[in-house]
Amino acid sequence: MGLAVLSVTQILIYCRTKKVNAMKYAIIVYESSSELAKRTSPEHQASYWAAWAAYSKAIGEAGVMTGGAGLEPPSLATTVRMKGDKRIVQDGPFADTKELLGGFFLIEVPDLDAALEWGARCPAAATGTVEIRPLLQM
Amino acid sequence: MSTEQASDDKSLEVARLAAERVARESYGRLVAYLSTRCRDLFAVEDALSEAFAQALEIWPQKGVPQSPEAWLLTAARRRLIDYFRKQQLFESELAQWVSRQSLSEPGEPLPMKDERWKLMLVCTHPSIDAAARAPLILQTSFGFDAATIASTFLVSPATMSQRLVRAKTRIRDLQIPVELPPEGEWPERVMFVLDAMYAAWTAGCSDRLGSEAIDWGPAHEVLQLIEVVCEAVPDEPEVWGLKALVLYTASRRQACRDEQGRYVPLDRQLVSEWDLTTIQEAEECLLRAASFQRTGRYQLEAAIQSAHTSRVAGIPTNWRGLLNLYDQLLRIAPSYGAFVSRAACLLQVGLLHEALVALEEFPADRMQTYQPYWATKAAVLARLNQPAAASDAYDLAIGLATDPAVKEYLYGQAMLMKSEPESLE
Repeated sequence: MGLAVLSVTQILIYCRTKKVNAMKYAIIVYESSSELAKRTSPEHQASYWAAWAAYSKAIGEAGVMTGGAGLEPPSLATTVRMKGDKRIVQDGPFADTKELLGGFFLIEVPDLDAALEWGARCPAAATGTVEIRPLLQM
Repeated sequence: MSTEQASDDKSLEVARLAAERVARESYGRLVAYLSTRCRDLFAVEDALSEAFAQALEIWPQKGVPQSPEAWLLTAARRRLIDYFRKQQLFESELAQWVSRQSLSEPGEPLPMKDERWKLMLVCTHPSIDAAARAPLILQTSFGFDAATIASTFLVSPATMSQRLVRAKTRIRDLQIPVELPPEGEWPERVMFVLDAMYAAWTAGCSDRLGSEAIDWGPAHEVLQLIEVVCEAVPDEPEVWGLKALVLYTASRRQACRDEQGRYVPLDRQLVSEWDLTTIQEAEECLLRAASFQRTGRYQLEAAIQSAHTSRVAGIPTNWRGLLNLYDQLLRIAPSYGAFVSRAACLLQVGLLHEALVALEEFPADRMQTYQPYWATKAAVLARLNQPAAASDAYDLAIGLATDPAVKEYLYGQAMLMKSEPESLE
């Protein structure tokens, strides 16, 4: 995920243009393992990263993004659980799934329609699944 | 599996397919026919869907009736009578009408004429939310479910259901009559129908255009409905203008993707990939519209598409002529799309600075999310030899595009600019 492209200035621009009555959503990005493999594939990485950089730039400059992160592949995950007073630490992800969590964007938009539009623009919409979820109101 | 079982399964399938065919082809006619007498779209749709469910139970055993539509109509009428009894509305004029109708054996000859035009007028009534009009037409005319319609319009299924229910409630509560509006309202109401048709068309085929699928979703059905409108109001030039516009875009649906599924912009499409019969039909519609000598938005948009077909006759695209058409269009029906397309024409005729100046007048609040703006700006900046700014604009265009083929095309253009700057001169 090319979130690093988003600069602090862009987030500041967002803060200034923040609108009232905005709804907060997470755009949760699921990618297939073959998609994730493109991140390091000499043949595909340039276009893979270009698509994510372009999306991050567009969503950043539109002033709707409040945060987000790209995630390393699940193979680099470490899981920890407590069973009673026993700690269980494992290498690898909690569950093996076909669609892997690749990252997420936090956005503030007027409504779900607008959030869906940003979801549809996400590169993973064509190759994996993009989930739009409202943030829990705290 | 025994042969008996196999043939059972087969007849079940035949019955199911027959019912489905009837659902698609007759749903709107049945809804229109019943709702011209009954303003309660909920009741009509409920009655019809129950009749369909009943048909799917009975037909596999007893065979598909001679006239499935008449059978369904009779069954739906019975359901409506039950409904009016339950609602204690039996004395109402409408319930009287339903019960007066012959309830003889299913299979009676069909007296029904196509009244979908009236249904379209109801669905686009000024008191119905504009965003709900096109979806409502798709649902009432073809029985598409809310989930399918939601995907077409990129809206959540729950939101779409709510919008549809709200619209139908308004039709019922406001007692919007399913009949032709007073003559004074006529031109305006026809335009509402055309706008909804066009919205349904662009939503229904935009993500399917050029895809290999022969069945391109609601787009095919929308064309059917536009033909119904042409029959109903043959003296309105804009109706023919819209039909021409839709046919021009339909004629190019094979050409906007190459064999590898890559996006091909209009000016680079192979003329051999265009459907000349459809173009011919479009030209006839446009000529017919022009014969009324009353121009309008859809006629101008169709004329723009027509200008692009000059390549069929080996004549290069007349970009200056197109520029003139866009100027006219922007005067009577300004839109973001026309604004950006006009700038693209300026680019094509080599007026690069003028193109850039024109783009700078684009409304700032919409710019941030409007992909064609950035794609056009990128092309202009590339030609002006400002690669850094062009590259930024390409990025935004790629990020805002939803169609992966368009994303890839724009990425290719950006790469081309970086690798051989002269190639875009």
